[in-house]
Amino acid sequence: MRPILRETLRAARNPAAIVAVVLLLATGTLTPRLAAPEPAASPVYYAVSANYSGGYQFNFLAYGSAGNVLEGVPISLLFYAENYSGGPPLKNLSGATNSHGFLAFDWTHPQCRCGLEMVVKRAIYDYELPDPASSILTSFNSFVFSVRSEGLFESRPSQLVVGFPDDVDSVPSGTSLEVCVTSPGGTPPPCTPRSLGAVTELPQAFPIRDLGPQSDAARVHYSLVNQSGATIGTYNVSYGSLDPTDPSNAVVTNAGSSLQTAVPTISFVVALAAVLVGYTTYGRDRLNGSLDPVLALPVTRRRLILSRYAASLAVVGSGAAMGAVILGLALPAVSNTPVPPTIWIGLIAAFVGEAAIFVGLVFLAAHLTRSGSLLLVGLVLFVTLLTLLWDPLVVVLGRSLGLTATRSLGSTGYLMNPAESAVSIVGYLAFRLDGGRPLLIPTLTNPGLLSALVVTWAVVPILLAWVIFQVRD
Amino acid sequence: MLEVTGLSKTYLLRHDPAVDRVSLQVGPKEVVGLIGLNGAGKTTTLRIMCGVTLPSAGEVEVDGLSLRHHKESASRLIGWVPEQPTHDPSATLTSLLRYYSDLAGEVPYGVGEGLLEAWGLADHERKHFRELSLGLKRRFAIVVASLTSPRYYLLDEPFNGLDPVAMALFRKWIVQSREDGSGVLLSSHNLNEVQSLCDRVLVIHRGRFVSSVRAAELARSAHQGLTVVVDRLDPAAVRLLEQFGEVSCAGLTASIRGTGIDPGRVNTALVQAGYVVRQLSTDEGNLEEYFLRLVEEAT
Repeated sequence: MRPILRETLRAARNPAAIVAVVLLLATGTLTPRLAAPEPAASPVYYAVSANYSGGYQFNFLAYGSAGNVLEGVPISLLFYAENYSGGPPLKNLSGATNSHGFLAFDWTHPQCRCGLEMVVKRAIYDYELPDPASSILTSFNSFVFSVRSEGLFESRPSQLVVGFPDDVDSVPSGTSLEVCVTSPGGTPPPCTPRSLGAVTELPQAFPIRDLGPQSDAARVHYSLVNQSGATIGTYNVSYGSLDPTDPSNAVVTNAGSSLQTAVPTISFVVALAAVLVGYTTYGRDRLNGSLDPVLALPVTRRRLILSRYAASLAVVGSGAAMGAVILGLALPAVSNTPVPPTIWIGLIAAFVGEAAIFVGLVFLAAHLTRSGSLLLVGLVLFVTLLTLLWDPLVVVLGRSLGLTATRSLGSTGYLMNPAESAVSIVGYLAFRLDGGRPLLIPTLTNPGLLSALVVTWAVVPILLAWVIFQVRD
Repeated sequence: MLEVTGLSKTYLLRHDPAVDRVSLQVGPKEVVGLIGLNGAGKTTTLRIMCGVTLPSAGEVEVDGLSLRHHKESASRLIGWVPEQPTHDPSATLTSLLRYYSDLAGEVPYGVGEGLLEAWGLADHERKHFRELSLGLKRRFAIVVASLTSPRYYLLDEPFNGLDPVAMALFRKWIVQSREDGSGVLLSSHNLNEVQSLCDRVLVIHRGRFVSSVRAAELARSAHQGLTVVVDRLDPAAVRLLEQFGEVSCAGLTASIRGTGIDPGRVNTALVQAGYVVRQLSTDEGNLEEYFLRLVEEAT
């Protein structure tokens, strides 16, 4: 313990460590004040409503809890009511900001602009249509929010899968598929059916992107027709429009969702603080030769690296824990509901875990480069990439590899990201606090797997650094 | 005994070894010089011997303790003074010394304070390390190296960049260390310093051990040139001097080139023949020539 205590005291006296801790405390104090106040008692809905009213124009509406969004983030919503009838009354929230308690986007040209918007707001994640009949965002999280649209992000149903009706065992020869497309809430068939071609096997997928201006509309009626022209079966599929004013779809905001506003911000600062402290405690000394006189003293390499690792962790972990406590004290100013102790424990554990991960990465990186400035700049960029730019990167990279942006891709992204894996503990607990809504990323529903991920990310880098230091230096 | 056996070091992504199967010994009460061209492997050898750099092969033992297996005990017996002392630049000497004293096995801070005083650093103890001159940094490095009262010192180019006063101080300290029973391994480019201080000199070239020479032998081998100024330089005097080597004359000055010229014998011969010897000096550059010859032979 004595070496760790000695190194901790030394690390804590370092000006960079003091800056890092002050930064963490300031973040804990200020972040809740950036969050929009939760609406007192009014339920806030979250749902997705989509309609396609021509070409690639796609209007998307999402409702989110107010506590999830930073105050003042300009968010506009342009809701097209064209061809809309029969559904619930719709609000035009054009020009709204999150102060109204709604989160909404307008993507009229999603091929370009949405990508950038999403990056800035970090509002990307998982929306897919595994079942076209339930095109509802099963849940969403403040900054983890997504819809994939045409272009970078895949959202529109791109194919229609014809499966087995219960009473059909095989496909009669000459069976073809006809579809009839109507706009959401529009008149059901009759309309002019279009043939998508022969059905030769079941299930069979048919592209439906090129059906014309009304393609991808909210309702598609399709029929399987046999050679003699008789209809085997008629099926209706609806896209979009879960009634956002239906109370059963409501989500009541609470401190958990407000807390999530702070988490990504603090997570970024924790990672930065870990880099700063890890660099000044070990990386800089190693690269400028200050470690040499220490190694010439009666000290083993193992003792040196592990005690400095523990010291860095103690400094950043203490700062993060204090930041979390301050956050807890500041949160009541914007939140109406208390946060259970479980969340706080999870929060501190996540930040300490994240600190352990990044300190370990700094120690490892210090053995892989010879330039201190390169190391520091590279690590700051690395942290930014992992905390702020990760989601779009995964999607873009995935698509460039020919992968569809799906939940599994998102899960893989989380597995590969040390920052996300630690913070996802908080996400998990916060979602539980929200009443057990299903999580977007299936991986995150397993706390055991999450913990294993964090431990792996925390242990592997420092272990590698130690081994390199021990055998080749 | 500080003993190195078969020491090799090949740096990552380098093909040629920086040090190749070097073996050497340094005993107590002995000052050993390590000389070689730039990049010969002197610094790497010293860094490995004090545990700062890991060897690719070979062993370092200090009084029977393996540096690899008993690092803490072995390092207690070795003090290292690098050519460019590097410590946390923003730390004060006091804080550095407290930290190192603690690391060195809870050495009382008074020991460090005494060393600071002895090396004339007491007035600088509140200064940041970066504020010190090279000479003061080198002194502080000796303070740190001396914290554990080691039995062996490894000095890497200790005279580089020092003013004459500091050089004299260092020279005196090295001699005193030997008298106190310490062994010193000293790498240097300053061949005259090496010659005047060392009991033995080891020559290293391209990472390989070339030769080991006793100081006296070095002096004998090295003095290949002698310059004599006499009252008259007649043919008889020239013939007399030609017994010792090849002679070239200019006025009353004769330069003798040859191996193992003993200045005392030359002086005696001239005086006995009735000449007045006004000046007799050895050629300062000859040690370098000797060293270069050794290197050429090795190449």
